Amino acid sequence: MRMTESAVERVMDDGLRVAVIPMPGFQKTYATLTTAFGSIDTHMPDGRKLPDGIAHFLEHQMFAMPEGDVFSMFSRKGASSNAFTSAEQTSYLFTCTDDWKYHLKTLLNFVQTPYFEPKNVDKERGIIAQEIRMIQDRPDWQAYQLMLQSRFEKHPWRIPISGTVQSIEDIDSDWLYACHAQNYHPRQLILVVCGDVEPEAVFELTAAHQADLPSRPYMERLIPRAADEYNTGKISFSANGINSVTPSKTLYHEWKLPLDKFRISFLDSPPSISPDVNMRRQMITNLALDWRFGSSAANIQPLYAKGLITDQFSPGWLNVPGAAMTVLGGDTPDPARVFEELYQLSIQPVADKEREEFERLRRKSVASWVRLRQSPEGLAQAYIRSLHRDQDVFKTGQLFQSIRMEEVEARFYELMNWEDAALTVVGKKQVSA
Amino acid sequence: MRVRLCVRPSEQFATVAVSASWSTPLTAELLAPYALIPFVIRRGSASCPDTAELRQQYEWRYGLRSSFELQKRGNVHSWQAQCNAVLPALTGDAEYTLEEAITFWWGNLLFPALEMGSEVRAFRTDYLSQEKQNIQRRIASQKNDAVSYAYDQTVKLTMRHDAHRFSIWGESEELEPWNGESLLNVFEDWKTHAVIDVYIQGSVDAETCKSWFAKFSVVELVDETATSQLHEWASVSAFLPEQVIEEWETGDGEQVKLNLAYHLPVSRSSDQFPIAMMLNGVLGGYAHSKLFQHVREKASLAYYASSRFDAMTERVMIQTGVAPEREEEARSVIFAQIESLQNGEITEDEWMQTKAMLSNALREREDDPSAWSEMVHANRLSGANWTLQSLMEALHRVTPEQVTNLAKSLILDVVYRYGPKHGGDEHAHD
Repeated sequence: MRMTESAVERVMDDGLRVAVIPMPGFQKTYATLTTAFGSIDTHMPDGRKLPDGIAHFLEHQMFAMPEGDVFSMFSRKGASSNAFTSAEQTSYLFTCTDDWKYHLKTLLNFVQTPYFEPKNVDKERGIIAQEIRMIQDRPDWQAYQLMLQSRFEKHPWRIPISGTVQSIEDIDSDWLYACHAQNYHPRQLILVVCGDVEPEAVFELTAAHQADLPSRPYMERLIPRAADEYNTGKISFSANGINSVTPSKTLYHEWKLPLDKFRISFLDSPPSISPDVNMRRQMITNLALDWRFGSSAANIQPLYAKGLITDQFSPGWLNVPGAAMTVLGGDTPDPARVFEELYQLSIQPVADKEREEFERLRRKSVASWVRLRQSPEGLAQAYIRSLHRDQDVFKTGQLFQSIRMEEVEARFYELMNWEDAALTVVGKKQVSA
Repeated sequence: MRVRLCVRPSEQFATVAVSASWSTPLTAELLAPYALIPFVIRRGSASCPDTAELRQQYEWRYGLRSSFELQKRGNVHSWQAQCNAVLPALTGDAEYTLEEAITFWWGNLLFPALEMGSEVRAFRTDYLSQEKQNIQRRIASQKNDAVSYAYDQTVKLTMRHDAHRFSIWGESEELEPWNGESLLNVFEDWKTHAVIDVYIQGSVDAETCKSWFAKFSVVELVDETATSQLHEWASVSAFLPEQVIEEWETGDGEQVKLNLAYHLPVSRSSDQFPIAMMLNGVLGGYAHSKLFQHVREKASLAYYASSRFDAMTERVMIQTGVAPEREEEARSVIFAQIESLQNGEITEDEWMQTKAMLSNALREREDDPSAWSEMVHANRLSGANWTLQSLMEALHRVTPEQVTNLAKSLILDVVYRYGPKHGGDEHAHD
């Protein structure tokens, strides 16, 4: 067993970035071609506003080719293919255990071949409308969406990734061609291949494939993804009281559920300095939240014992270009009380004994990093996410060595900005918060 | 307690994966205690009774992972406890050993935290009452995931003659009567009489693994070929449905979840098992399959449309989610696909793709540390003897005629829908 310590990268003549993560001994090869085009990208360079949900719609439509549907091209030789769209990216992927070269050519070919027949676009609209309805039936999705919409007035993170049944009505083949031309240029694509493959063989195959494509002009984005103007649209909540903080504004989405779904959110300053500093900051953030609010935190057990939270409670730090937030979320019979108790917990002074727990947190992180390198899918996605931020996920171990407990503690208090905490609830509306 | 230990040394993985399956026949009376026991056990051990401290102890051991899953396999109730430990060589810490880590986990399973200062031996009352509430909340929240709720309800209907129909969590009110003492009695009885299948995969040898378990006097290691009643317990009843059960449960939401259950009398130990796998693959296992292609791609009716063959219950389950006004149309399309399969309408492309996909899925299992133990355990539950290799070879020998013939034995048993009715009160929330 050999642990992968780095990726081998190469940039093709047309600007396509290629990375190979060798995983010797694995049967499976996982490859993904990703574009930094997601639901937070809302305009064309000429200023035209895109219909909400178009990145996701485009992802669906890419699977139609003049010669037939793409799933079949992969499955004829046993590969599973799929795709997903997030706020900041669209990824196309396959896993196979045989003939990775055939599948890699198929992947490169279909993602770079726009083919949007109007009748197919209409048909896909029906499928996506059902997908939207299915997602809307999930209370957790509603809780996530309500939280984003309550915090961002302008930042497009508030837009549902799939759009709405209404917004996808405006999508036609012209829009799809325009979005493909803009966002699927080789300069905006990243190919990552993970598995027991020779990096040079991947580079050679990709270079040959790309050389056969007609060259296309590349247009820079009009609005940078981390535009300052988004930040003016943050919605602030001011808390009242000092010893007993209650959110001055609580937003509800009424739904009769056995337990309410709550999200307490704290806006954070988005990462904006250097890639290594950002990556280190993210690691410190995760440690801080796990330390005080993770499943092994002594703090949290009393809330569970009182029945105020369930074992689904978890803290998290989310970020997209231009925005970041900390979220404490779960299920509860009493959202206002959970808000109050979590506030009280977070202002409790830290005991010296708790500061000695850093070594435990370090060991847990070592294990997570080892496990990630056993998963071709997990490692490839972590790698892409870091590339989008000009970071290198393989620096995880090295950066960790430089983190100190004092930084973790300081970061925790920085994150817990209760003056601006918002409570959003999917569940029954309470008379007073 | 008898432990059947099965070890597969492998240098491929950075962790050692241990899986322990406690299996008993599914009975209504014991659903509640069997659901409660693992939840209470994870709250504290005899050596580490505090929950947070116990979890921290796992983290000190390089993020030693402990998890469990309650499962129904045919008519067997099983509690599968899993542990995953990072190889010491990757930590650079000479004091951390696999033996210490894995025996710590095993000690947590066997010696839970008990009530202090009590004259009778009992599980801690506070943990028990909190976990009762936890499970009751899970039961109450089942409808939050409408897709899986609808699936479970369909299973309940189609397995009406078997214990498999029971929910793995039991019913909310059945949890109430259990106290620390009565629950501990069930646990102690279980500990004494159960045969536990333990599977270990990773960079360790069988002798070393045996020495870990030999430390515990309650454990009697038995040969891995030792027989058990697993297969006998797991078998489901054979009956032919005479009339299709139709049900439409009104629910919140935008979409109706349409589920169908078909009988397919093929067990995992049958020679027909690979044929049934091919049948399911052609019908609805993949994106190229008939259901996905016709319900979603051609008719644009749904986002998902798939089938699943469960050899333990001998059922093919079909799932989709559609607009309420198009439910009937979706049902017709599904019936047409079953009919086409029964008429031998399998295209060369459908056939080739299904074979390729199934072979790929089997090969991919080599990379998954838990896949091997799942395969061996499934064999034990069903009296089968498949290996990845023999199953792959058998799949290659299956012919379209065999699938067509087997498809003729599909019998529709249940049509179940959950969601708003067309023209009814569709929006309980907005």
